[in-house]
Amino acid sequence: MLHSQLGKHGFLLVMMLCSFAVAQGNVTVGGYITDAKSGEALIGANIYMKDAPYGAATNMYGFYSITLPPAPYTVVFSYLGYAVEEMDLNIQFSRDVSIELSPEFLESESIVVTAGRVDANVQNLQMSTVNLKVETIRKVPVVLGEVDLLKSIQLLPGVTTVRENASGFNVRGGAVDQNLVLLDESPIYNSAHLMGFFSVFNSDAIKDAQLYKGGIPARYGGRLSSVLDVRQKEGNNKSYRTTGGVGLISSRLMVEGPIVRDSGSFLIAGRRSYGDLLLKAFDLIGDNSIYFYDLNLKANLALGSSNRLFVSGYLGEDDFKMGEVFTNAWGNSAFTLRWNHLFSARLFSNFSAIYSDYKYSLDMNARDLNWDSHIINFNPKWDFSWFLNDRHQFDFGAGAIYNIFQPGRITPLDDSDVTATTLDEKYALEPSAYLSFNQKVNDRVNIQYGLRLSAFSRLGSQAIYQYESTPILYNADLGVYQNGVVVDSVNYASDETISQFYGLEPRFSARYLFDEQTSLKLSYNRMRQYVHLISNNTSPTPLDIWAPSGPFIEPQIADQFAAGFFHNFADNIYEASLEIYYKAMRNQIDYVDGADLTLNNTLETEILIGEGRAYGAELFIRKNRGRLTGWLSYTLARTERRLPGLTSDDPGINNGEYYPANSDKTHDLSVTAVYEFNPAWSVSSNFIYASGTPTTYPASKYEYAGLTMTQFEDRNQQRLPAYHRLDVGVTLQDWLRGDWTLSLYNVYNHKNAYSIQFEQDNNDPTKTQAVMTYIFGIVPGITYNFQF
Amino acid sequence: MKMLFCLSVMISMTLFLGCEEVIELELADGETRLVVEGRIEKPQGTAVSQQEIRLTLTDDYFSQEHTPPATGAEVVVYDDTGNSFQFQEVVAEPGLYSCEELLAETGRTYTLTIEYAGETYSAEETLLPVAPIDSLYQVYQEDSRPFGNAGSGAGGWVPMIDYSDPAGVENFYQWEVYVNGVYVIEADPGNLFRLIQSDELYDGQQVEGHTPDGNLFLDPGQVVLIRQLSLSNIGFDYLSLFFSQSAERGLFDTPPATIRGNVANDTDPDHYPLGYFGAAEVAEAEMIIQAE
Repeated sequence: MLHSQLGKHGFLLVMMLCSFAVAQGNVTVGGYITDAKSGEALIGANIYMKDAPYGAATNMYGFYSITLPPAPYTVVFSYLGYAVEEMDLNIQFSRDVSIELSPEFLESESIVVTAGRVDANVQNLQMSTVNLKVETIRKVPVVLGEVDLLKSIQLLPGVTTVRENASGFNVRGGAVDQNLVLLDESPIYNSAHLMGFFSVFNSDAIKDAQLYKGGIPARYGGRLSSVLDVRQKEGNNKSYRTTGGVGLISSRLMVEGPIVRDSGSFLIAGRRSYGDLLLKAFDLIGDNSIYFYDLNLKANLALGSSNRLFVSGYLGEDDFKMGEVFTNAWGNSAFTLRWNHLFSARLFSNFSAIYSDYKYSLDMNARDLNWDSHIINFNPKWDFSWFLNDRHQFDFGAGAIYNIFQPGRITPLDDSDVTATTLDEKYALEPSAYLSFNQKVNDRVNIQYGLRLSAFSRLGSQAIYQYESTPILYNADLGVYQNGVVVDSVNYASDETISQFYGLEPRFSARYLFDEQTSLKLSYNRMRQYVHLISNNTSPTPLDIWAPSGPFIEPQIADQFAAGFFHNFADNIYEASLEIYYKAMRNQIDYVDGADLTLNNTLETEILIGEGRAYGAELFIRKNRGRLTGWLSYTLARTERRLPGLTSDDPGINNGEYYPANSDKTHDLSVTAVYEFNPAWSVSSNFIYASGTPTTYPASKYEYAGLTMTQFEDRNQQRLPAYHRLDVGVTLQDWLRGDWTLSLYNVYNHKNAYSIQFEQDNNDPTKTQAVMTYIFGIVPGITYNFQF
Repeated sequence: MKMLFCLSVMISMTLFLGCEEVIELELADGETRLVVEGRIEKPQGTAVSQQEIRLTLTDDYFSQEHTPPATGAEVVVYDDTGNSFQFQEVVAEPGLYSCEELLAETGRTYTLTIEYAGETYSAEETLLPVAPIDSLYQVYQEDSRPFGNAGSGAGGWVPMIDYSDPAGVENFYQWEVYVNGVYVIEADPGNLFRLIQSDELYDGQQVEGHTPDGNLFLDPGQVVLIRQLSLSNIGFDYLSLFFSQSAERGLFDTPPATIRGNVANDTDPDHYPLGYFGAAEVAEAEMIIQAE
C-alpha cells in the first residue's frame, strides 16, 4: 500500500523534474564563495544579478548554483560583514564562478553592508530559525567569561532550560531529548560539560550554528523539537595561524593551516578545564577532582573543482572523582568523513559516513563495581541538491543509522564480591529517505514542500519478556503501580526483527512577501523520533537512560504548526518578528511515582505513556548595525503533559489531567545589548527575566524509622520563584591583537533558586525546613584571547 | 540498590557546585493522614513475644514539633493459622500499641487491621528468614568522606560485619545500629546503600566488611549493637524510596513523589495512609569497642 503510493508519487515527481529541467537553452553559473583571508567556505552568502531577478545563496559548503538565460550580467556577491564584490560577466556558457570575499573593517560597516542581504530574515523562506555567528557569541557576557554557544542560544526566543546551567535545552516546549544536536553531521547525545556549565562546542573551532525550531526541512529527522546544526571551521588554507584563549575555568588552543595552499587545510583545537588543578594546588578539594577536555580535528582537500574531501572528529570527556567513593567519566566521540561531489554545476552532492559513540562510566568504590554504558551509531548518508532552474530547487537523499545501545555492563573492581552483569544490549536499524522541493512561485510567494520516510527496526539478538497482561500494573488496594507479571521470555536471534515502525513525515513552509520589508511565513512539520530519554530528574544528568522504541514503547511523533510575521524597518537596521506555534506530541513517556530507572533491564515496568502539547508566541527585535547592537526576545508559552492511567480505573499521573511540564515557563524575556565605542573596545549587557519552572511542594510531614519525612502529593503544582539577573561585560583589544573580556555575571547578586528541597534540620530532627539551592551569586570573569 | 547508586553520585556533585540557604515559604495545609510504623519481629535464637506498632498522624510541614500520635485506635494482628492478637495502647506513650503474647514464626503471614477515626485500614506481610551475622568486628578508619563532619578530622573505630548470603534465593536486608542503647540513623547519601541492600549482585557470596553506617566513628568503651533484618521485595522498594527521598538534596533533584507503603484504607481508598507494616527475622550482634 505504502509502496504503491510512493511509486505513484515518485513517478509524478520525475515527470515534474523533467519538465523543469528541460529549460529553454539556459546556462548555469556555480561555484564556491570563500573568505579571502582564511579560505573558509562562507555559508549563506548571497549572489545575485544586478538588474535581473536571478539569485541564490551558498549552502553549508559554500556552494551556489544559478541557472539563467545567457546574457551579460553584473554579478553581485555579498555576505554580512564582508566587502561586497561586483563582477561584470558576459555569461554565454555554463561556467564555474568561485570568488573570495574580504572581511571588511568595522568602521566601514555601515556604508557597505546595505548592498548585502541584511533583510534575510524577511526574504528567506525558512522561519523559526536562528543563526548565530561565533563573532556575536563572543561579545555576549557569560558566566566566568567563558564564551559558549548553548548559553547564547538560550538568549533567543523559544529556547529555555529547566534550570540555570542545566545540561540540556528545551525548544518550544520540547523535552531535552528532542533536540537533534549535530556537530559536522554527527549526533551528540550529551552537549554539556561540567554538568551544564559549558557546552561541548569549542567556540574557536566552530564556524556556524543553525537552530531550527519549526518548519524543519525534510533532510533532518529523528528528533521531535529542533535541530541544532553546528559546523566546524575547515581550517585556514592560506597560512598557518594559532589562536587561543585563557580563562578562569578552561584554556583553548587552536592551530590551523594549509595542507595544500588554497585547496586543502587542517585544524586542531583543544580545550581543557583546570579548575581541578587550581583547587588541588591550594589543597581545597582533597582527593576530589572534576575536569573536562575536548579535541576538535578537521582536514579537507579539494580534488579538482568537482570533488572535495572532509574528515572531522570530535573527542570530549568529563571526569569526576569523589575521593574514595566513586569516579565518573562520560563523553562523546564523533567522526565524520564527507565527500562533496559536483555531478554538474547544477547537481551538488555530499556523501557522509558518520560514527559516534556516547559513553558513560562509573567506578563505584563503595560497591566495588564498575558500570560502563555506550550508545554507538554508524550512519552513511547521501544528500543531493539539484538546482533545476532559477525558480526550482530539488533536494533529496537517503541514509541509514545502525544503533547499538549498551545500557550497562557491570564488572567487579579488584577482588570484590560483585557478580559481573550486563543489561540487555539493544540493536536497531533506522533507514530514511526524503524529497524536498523549493519553488519560487512568483516574486512574492516561495514555498517548500517535502516528505521524509523513516523507519526503525529493532533487531536481535535480545530476549524480550512476555507479560501476563501489561508490563506495568496498577495495584488499586495500595494505590501504586507495580511491575507486570512475566510469563515467558522470547529469544530473538541477531537476524530477527523484534519490532518495526515506519511513517511519513510531511514538511511544508511558505513565505508571502508583502513588500521588500515585510513578509508572512507559515510552516508545518511532522517529526518522528525513535529514541526516548528516560530520566527521573528534573533536568538531565549523564545517568539518564536512552531507550529505543520497541515492543513496549512506540515512537514519539510531533506535529507542529507555526506562523510568523516578519518586518524590518529603518533601512533594515532593525528587524522584528512575531511567531506563534502549536505543537502536539504523542507517545511521551514519564516514569511513575517511585520508579527505579537505573540498572533496570525492564524499563517498561516503570513508565506510563501519554501526550504533550506546547503553544506560545515569540517576539524578537534586533538592531543589526550602528554602535549599539543587540536584541530583545520575549516568549509567552505553555507546555503541558498528560499521562493517563492504563485504563480508566487508575489515576496515571496527576489523575490523568494535563499538568505543566518541567520546562514550562510562562514568560521568558532576555535583552542583550552591545555598545561599541571603537573597534578596540566595547561594552555589553544581558538582562534576563523568566517565570519559575514548576515544582512540587510538600503537603505535610510525618515520622517513620526515626526520620522526619516530607509528604508530597500531586506533581508540578507549584512554581519556583521567578528567575532574573543582569550581566555586564567589557571587551578590550590590546596592541598585540589580543582580546581581553571582563565580565560580571549576576551583577545585583540575585539568588536564583535552582531548586527548593525540604528536609529535616540535622541539629533537631523534629524541625523541618525549606532549603533553596542556588548556583551563582555575582561572579566575575576574565578571559584573554590571542592569535598569531 | 539501583536508585541509590545514582543518587549518591548526584548528591555528591551537588555538594561540589551549589550554595544553599534556608528560606521562608508559605505552604498550603495538606490532608491529615494516618502513619503506620510497625513490624512483627522474630529474633534468632530467642523467644520474644512482645510486639509494638506505632500510629501517628501527618502534620503541617513547618510545624516545629513531633507529629501527633493517633490515639484510641483498635489494632489487631492476625496470623495465617487463624490466631488473632489484640494490641493495647500504652498508657504512658499515646499512639504506641503493644501486644505481649505474639510469638512470631518465620514463614508466617501476618495481617494488620486498624480501626481509626471511623475508617478501617489493613496490611499484610510475610515474615522471611534472614542470614545470621557471621562476625562483628572493629576496624580503625580515617574519616575519608569527601565532606566529612568538619572538625571531626581523624576518624575512629568503624563497626563492620560479615554475613553469608544464601545462594539461589532473592534476599533483601535491612540493618539497624544502636550505640550505647540508642538507635542511630542518618539517611545521608553515603548511607543510602548501607542501611538496606539487595543480594542482586551478591547472590550466594559471603559479604565481608559491610558497614551499616558510614558516619559512625566510635571511641573505645562504646557499645554497638547491629541488628540484621529480613525484608520483603516490596518492603525493600519502600525503604529504598523512603531513604533516598529523605537523603536527597541539591543540584540533581529527582522530583519528589508520594511514597506509598503496604497499608490500605479499606473505607476510603483516596484517604490513603503512610508508613509500612513489616515482619522480619532479626539477627543481632553486639560488641564493646576495644582500645586495640
